[in-house]
Amino acid sequence: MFRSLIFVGTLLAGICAQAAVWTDVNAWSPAYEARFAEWVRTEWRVDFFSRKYLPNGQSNPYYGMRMDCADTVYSMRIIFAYENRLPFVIQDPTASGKTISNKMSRWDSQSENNRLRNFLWFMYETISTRSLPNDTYPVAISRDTIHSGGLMLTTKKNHHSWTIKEILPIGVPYLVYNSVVGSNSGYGLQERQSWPNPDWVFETDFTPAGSAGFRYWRPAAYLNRPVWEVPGYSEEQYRIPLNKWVRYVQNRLALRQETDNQMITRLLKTTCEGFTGRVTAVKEGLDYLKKNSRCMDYATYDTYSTPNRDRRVFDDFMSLRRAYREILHINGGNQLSPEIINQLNKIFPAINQSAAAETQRMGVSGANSASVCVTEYLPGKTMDLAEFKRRLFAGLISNNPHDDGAYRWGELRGPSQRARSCQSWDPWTPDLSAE
Amino acid sequence: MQEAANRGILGLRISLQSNKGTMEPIKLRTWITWALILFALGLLADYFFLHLLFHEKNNAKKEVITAPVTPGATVAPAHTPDETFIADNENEAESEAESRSKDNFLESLQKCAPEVAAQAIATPEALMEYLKKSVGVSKDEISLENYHLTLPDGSKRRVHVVIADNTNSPDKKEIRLFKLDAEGYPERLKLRGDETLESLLAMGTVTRHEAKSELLLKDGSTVSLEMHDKKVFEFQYNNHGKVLSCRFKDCQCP
Repeated sequence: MFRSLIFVGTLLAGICAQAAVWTDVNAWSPAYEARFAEWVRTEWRVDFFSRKYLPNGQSNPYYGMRMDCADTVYSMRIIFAYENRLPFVIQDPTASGKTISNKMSRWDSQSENNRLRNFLWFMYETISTRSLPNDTYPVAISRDTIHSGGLMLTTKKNHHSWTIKEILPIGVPYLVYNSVVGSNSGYGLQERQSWPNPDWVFETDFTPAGSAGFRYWRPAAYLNRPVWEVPGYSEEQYRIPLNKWVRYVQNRLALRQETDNQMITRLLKTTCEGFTGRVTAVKEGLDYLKKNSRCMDYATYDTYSTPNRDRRVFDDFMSLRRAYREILHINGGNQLSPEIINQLNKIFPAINQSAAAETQRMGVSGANSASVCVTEYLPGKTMDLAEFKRRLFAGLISNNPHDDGAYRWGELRGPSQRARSCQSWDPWTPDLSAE
Repeated sequence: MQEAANRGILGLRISLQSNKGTMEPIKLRTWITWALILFALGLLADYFFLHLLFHEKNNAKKEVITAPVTPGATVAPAHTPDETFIADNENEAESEAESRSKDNFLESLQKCAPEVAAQAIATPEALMEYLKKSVGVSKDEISLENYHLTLPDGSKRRVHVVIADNTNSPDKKEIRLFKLDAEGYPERLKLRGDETLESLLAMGTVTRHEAKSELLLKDGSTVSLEMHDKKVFEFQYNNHGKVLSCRFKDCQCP
């Protein structure tokens, strides 16, 4: 009886004394930062929020969280802090000089898992890519400062961010991220093992004030302080000429050089993922269009249009093209396998000419033995990467969700009758002069 | 009746005598047991009233959605900060921080922009005035604003206007409305969807205004600027590669 009473008393005291999302008993240190990096490298996966069960058979406590790009970046830090009983503190985006932390007691009456999930939801409603500059700082270019657990941020014009899962031994970032959250978006994240286009990352402001590029988390003591006072703050990445940025940074981060074959294979894979990912996105728009034939309002149009996605695929094609040209310039392609050369020549049939001239010369490209990434883009219809590139570069691919499938995929040149009669926003067309 | 009463008194006496004969001192263990029981009851009462009952009341008020800025809505402040408001903690803390910060503005300006320093510019506000009026602004974009409001009933609200992430548009803004919880943390409030910045600001008195903006100047230089109540809080002036960074007058020009 006596022991039972002590147990009940302790339990009640524990419940009632709870006054935080989680109680932090540890403190951030170089050792914990190293553990964080290792955790991100091994555990931070595209199915982190979409798998129902963990490998050990337990249900996934984070299943079903839906988030945009900035939410993804913050989630990475929050969840590690929670699992390791570390503090999580950021600047309150709604008031300069204030902070938000795991010490909030708003969800005291709830279970630990619900407290954490509610804290995450609260964060998603409060933070954005514009709050990231307050909570992070730009770093110098080395493997000691750019590593798993860090992030990349664009200027405010393109408002995007990525988590760094790993810097590959070849010096290329392995990024995990999310894009625009649509009404039918799943819980999965996205990934890429290649450079985002630095012209896009730093667009309109290639200076420290633009806050773009590689960044890492501020220690809590340096929140609400000028960013240039944070230990490790560096403006190095803004001093590199933009047209040499990728080559320079990759060389600084690389432990070994990748072979030409490996590089082209990697870039082909990234471009292929951009192509196949578009199939799902366009299908969502076409499904909506089937049920709703009237003109879309701005929000609906924004959800189902694909200008940013199409630009990213275009940028990936251009990166692949630049890489192939440089290889040919350096060694004539003698390190590339004949198979890859055939694949590249199908995609870039006039590689020595400008992209604009090549596009004019390029005819319809049917699938054959040199095809890469043959994909069913509409029911019963397939094309390979070369044909998709032809249509994209020729301006045939439509990002307007008022267009039906034939226009969205460039079988017909738009705009369609419906697209002409409805308002559209944020158009994008390929700029072939930007080589 | 009297007999029954006598029997009762007698019974009580017998019982008392009987107990007196066998009563032992109360053991420490019994004291602790009862203390624990009373403590647990106290905790349960506290938990019920403070965490469950009142918490439910608070929860009943909570609702959250995203409310985009309606197309065409201006984000320029409809209200200028009321000069008569009683300074809140943020403003006081900031004034103290400003008075404590070092002042190397002139040396840093001389190093990063000697041609501007030659214009006898003494303060960050004067610098911004000079850059805007004498150099000229090609583009002035506000990327983030916070309005701190006090409603007629004394409660606080914050209106957070920020570039929207979840969109293809490069310049769409989103308005978020927050109340403050008991700990002072923001708590998002539901918007109907037809609100404008002006209608939200009209709910109360603006006690503080924070704004971050990016200026592209006509000579190609840029300024990233954070103003609090029309006073320069922090800025980075990129003078063609030389970056002057200041919070108040505490500056650096590396």
